Amino acid sequence: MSVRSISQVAIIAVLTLWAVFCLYPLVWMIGASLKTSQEVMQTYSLFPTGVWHWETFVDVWQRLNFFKYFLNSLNVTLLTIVGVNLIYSLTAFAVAKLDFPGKNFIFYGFLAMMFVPGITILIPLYLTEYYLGILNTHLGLILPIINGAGPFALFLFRNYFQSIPHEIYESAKLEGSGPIRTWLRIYFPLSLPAIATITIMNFLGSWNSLVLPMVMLTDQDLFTLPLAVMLLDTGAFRQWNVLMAGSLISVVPVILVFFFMQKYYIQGLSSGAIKS
Amino acid sequence: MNKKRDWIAGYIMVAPAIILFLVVGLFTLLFSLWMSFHHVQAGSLISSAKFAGLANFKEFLLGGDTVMTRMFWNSLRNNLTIAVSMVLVVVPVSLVLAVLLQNVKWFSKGFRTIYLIPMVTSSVAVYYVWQGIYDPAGSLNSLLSAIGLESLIARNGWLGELNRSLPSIIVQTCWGAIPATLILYVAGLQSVDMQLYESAEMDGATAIHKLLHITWPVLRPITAIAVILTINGAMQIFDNIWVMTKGGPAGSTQVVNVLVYQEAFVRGSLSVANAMGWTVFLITFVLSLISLRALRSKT
Repeated sequence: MSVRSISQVAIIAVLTLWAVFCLYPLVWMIGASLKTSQEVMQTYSLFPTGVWHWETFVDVWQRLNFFKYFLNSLNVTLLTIVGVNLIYSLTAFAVAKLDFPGKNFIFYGFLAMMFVPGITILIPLYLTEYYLGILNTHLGLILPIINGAGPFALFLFRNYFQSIPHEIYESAKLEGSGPIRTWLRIYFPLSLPAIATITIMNFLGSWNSLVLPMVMLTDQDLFTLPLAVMLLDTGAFRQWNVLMAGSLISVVPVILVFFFMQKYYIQGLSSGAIKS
Repeated sequence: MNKKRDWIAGYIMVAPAIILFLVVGLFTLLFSLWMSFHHVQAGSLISSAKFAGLANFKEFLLGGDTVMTRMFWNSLRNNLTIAVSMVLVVVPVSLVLAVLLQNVKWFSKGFRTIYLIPMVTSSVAVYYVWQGIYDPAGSLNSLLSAIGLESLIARNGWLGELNRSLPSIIVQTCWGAIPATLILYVAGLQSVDMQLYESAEMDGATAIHKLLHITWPVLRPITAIAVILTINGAMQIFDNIWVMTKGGPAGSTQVVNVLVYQEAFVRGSLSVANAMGWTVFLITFVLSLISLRALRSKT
């Protein structure tokens, strides 16, 4: 064996070890959800040595209402995604293509807001929502998430629109198409890659979001999956298998979306860094 | 005429974003600033709030309330410990992994996909798994006993012992934070001009020379971004600590955001908690500026 192939083997060994470290918690979660509660902390084996208990999932899904929490999470996440894409695509188009006073002020005002951490406005936000009467509603959860996603989405859409040749806008204008029509018929459909990036970033963000739902939602019927998983942990004895089955239900959608939209996720991470 | 149409359409198009921004963003920010200088208690009317000057800040910064002051400085110290440890772990590990990923001949894409899993799954669900790993009967103790290192076993669990809880939290946080930095370095290394390498080799440049003069200039701005993002993340850490320890045992993993949440929504001192939020914001901002300066001046 040459020096080159020995070093290749060494590199693959290190990379495999790291891959195991990355995957271990997920595999542990799957294994624990299939064991009995006692088995989880008593056996060394990652997976059940005896019967695989699939029925825990049915129990969590039906009796413990995870179908409802799943729909709640889906509702919040989808509305967030639709809201972010529509609102900031419109704003970005206006800022990138139209000429009106104050547009740069608007753009940089949004970007500046990015520096304010969520915790700084959390308490007044809670009070504001209380006075507006949207505390303990999904709307009250979605609006701040959308606003929080604004700077990144605006930045991405504006860059994307500026990269589209300006002749397209000019010729649409010559044919008598107004700005809103041009946005709807040409620019919004053309920005599909940007939409994909914004969609996956916000899917992960709102699906996994914890502080805002903790503060804004008190009615259990409205709970999203992270809160529902924490509900499973309120008894005197922790039922590891039930907790892990609920956890797995909350994680699987995220992993599926990630696998299908990985390319756009990586783009999002890189452009997010360039912005900051 | 055309110009006017631009104006009207422009304002219509930015209106939804602006309205949302004014209510949820700007108004709450100003409200927050106002609150820091007033006494606001949970359950009482905002209109009855009295001007408090800097009293809210004195409560937790200068011993106005001795217990809270001790808790705040303890939390801030933990945040800073997490931030420094993360920079020291996340940046070098990500860089090494990125270099290895660039040099491996097979499965490069597959590894990269797997390496993003910790970040994608970082949520309440996975924090419970880590709690299981750190449990007295969990995988980490089992592993130690299996390889004959019984003396290192944490009898009360890794999150249950005063001197091990914070390091255990830091390991978990790094696990979740490495993917983002790794992706930055992977993208950075891909953008290094290969022709520069070749011509440098022809000029007889050494490996170290190439590293210092070709690779590092590309990686330096990326490192600056990675350091700033890591510090920001460490100062705003909440989710994993809330699920795994709630700041315990005995405040050993308490951080400012958890303290703010508990002060505001458990104990009801809204304006003091809010002032804490501003303090940590200012500290984070200053830290970011310092690290930006430090990494820029090395040109």
